[in-house]
Formats: sequence, structure tokens, C-alpha cells
Amino acid sequence: MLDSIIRARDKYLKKKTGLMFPSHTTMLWAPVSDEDERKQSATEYANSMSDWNDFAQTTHTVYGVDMSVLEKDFEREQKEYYLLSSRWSELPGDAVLAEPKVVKYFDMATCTIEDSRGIPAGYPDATFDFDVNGNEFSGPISGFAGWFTADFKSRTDAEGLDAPKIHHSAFLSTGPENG
Amino acid sequence: MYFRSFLGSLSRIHDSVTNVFFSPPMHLTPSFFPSDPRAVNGDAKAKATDFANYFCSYAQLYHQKQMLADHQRMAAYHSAILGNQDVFRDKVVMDIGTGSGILAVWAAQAGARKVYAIEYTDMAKHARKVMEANGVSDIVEVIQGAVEDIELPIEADNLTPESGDAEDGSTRVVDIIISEWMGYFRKSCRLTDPFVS
Repeated sequence: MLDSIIRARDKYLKKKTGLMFPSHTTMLWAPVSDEDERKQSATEYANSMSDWNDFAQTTHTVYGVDMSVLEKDFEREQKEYYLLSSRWSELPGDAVLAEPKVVKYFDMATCTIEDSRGIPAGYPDATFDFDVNGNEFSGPISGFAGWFTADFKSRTDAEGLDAPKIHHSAFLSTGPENG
Repeated sequence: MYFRSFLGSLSRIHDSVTNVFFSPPMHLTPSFFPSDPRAVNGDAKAKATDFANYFCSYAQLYHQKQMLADHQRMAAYHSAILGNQDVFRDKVVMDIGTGSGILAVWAAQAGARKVYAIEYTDMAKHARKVMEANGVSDIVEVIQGAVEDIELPIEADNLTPESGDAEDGSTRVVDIIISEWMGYFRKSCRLTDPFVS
């Protein structure tokens, strides 16, 4: 989606006077505790693999065809589906276990398709340290949550100094500081 | 006391089955970002993936309603657009991924001369009804298609592209681009229904 916006910006938006709404966005993330969600995913995955075993056995005994050769592929597919995909969730503010870190900041006037692809593995920016103090009230780490903040304000890039100013800037966060 | 987020996948660290996924260094793979298919496989495949992943769910009014019920998001866009009418007055606006069209309605109400509301899914048909019902269909033009593919009716609308860089294939007639792409962040059909909020 972001890459489409960037392509549209570079094709249609006036270079020096054009405005992006939002103008700046920040993606953050932090370790969170949500054991219900994690266990549900693990259970769904386990159930799916159990279904496969029934299927393979039936196919073998009833129809005489050995499907077990596909088990590894099925397992990989299901693992990706249930355990390796991000999903949307609503979390209580106290689920966040550490100070959130900025993953990526986008100046919407200047960010590139390359920026929209994320952070290449191995880059210094791609390492995050979180300080988690688990106790009986918080933790364990069930996963990581990410969210966005968005600004609607005047352009800050050098080329946009003459762009119309936003006199009433606005701010949106989908993060835990909203409580 | 709730906030919206996505739960990441690097992370089922207490689950021995998936321990392996936590062992690499904590980097963000391209799959962390919404644009990843294009990054890896090129545009054609990306479009198919995009479609499979999220356009399908956004074509349902149910999902539009769910998003519109998010008051923080709505309030921020409302004040950003209607609180800055001096910036919108007589301007050409493009709303990318307009959905049922509410941001486009606001842009028109804020005084825009022309609003192009781009929507890939059949939600575009609903958006047209919304424009009519809100008396802004003469200002807002709903265009169904991928923003990469559409043509703006700039001649019919009497718009002159900003000069100087025509050789790069650009048609710079737009003063303001509005989008709510953060809400699409890694959204996928199969997981949307139980978890969208």
C-alpha cells in the first residue's frame, strides 16, 4: 500500500507545493504479552497437523495412495499460516512489556519505494534492544506488536519550504499511549 | 484501555515448536512491510498478492464500518482536513484507497475544487452513492482501479500539470494526497475476520 502511495505521489503530486496527509508517519514496536492469542495460534496449528494425519491415513487405507510424502510441505504451509503471519489485534496498554522502539520514520514527502520495503537484514537499524522486566504481573513475552503514529503538519523537507503551511496540525496514534 | 496493533510473527518464543523463528537476529524482514511482494517479485505478482491479501476484505461494508468506528483515527483525519480548510480551498485532492469515501467527502466539504477518490475494489460503487447522498458528487470523482493504472481526466477537468518534468511521465496536477495506508498494514484476508477491531 505505501509503495502505491509513493508512486502516486511521484506521478501526480506537485513537487514543491504538494502536501501529503498524513505528512509524517512513525512505526513502532515492542514486545507484548498476550498468551491467549499465542496459545490459540499454537492450538490451531496443532489441530491442523492432526487433521493432516487423519487425512493421510484415510487416503492410504481407503484409497491406497500414499500422501505422506507431502507432509513436510503441508507442515511448512500451515506453520506459515498459523505461526509466522502477523495478525491484527487489540491489546490492553499494559500488555506492552518494554519501551517501544521506532522501527521506521517516514517523511511522506520524500520517502522512497526502497524505504517502503523495510529495513534490510543486517543493517545497524535492524537491531533492537528491549529491556523487559518480567514478573508475576507482566510477561511472558508472547509476541511483538507494532503500530503507527501519524502527523498532519507542514512539510519539513528542503524542497517543500514554500508549500502551504498547516496551521492546525493533527496527530494520530494507534499505540498504547492512548490507553 | 485498548490500542490497535498487529502481533508480529518473529515471536512465539515460548513455544518450542517455533523457537527457531526467534533465534535469528531481530531484524525486520521485508515481509514486515505492506509492500513486500512487489519488492521481491515485481509488480504483476504483487498485484495478485495484494488482491488476495487485502482488497477482498475491503470490498465489504462490514470492514468499512469497522474502520469508521475507530474514533481516534476518524477524529485525527477530521481535524486534519476540516481544521485546515484554508489549505484545501480550491485545491485538487487525491484520496488513495478511499473505501466508502468519507475522507473524500471531508476534502470536498473543506473546499477542494476537485477530489479524485481512488478505490480498487467494488467499494467504489458504494463510495459513489455516498458522494451523491452527501451532495459532493460534482466535486468528488470516484475512480475504480489501482492507482498505478488509472488515468485522471485532467483535460475534462481543465487541469494543467505542473511544468518542468513532463519527461518522467508525471502528471503533477494534485495539490494534496490523502491516504490511510497505515490501516492496511500487513492486513490479510484470512486473519482479518477474527482479529480486526
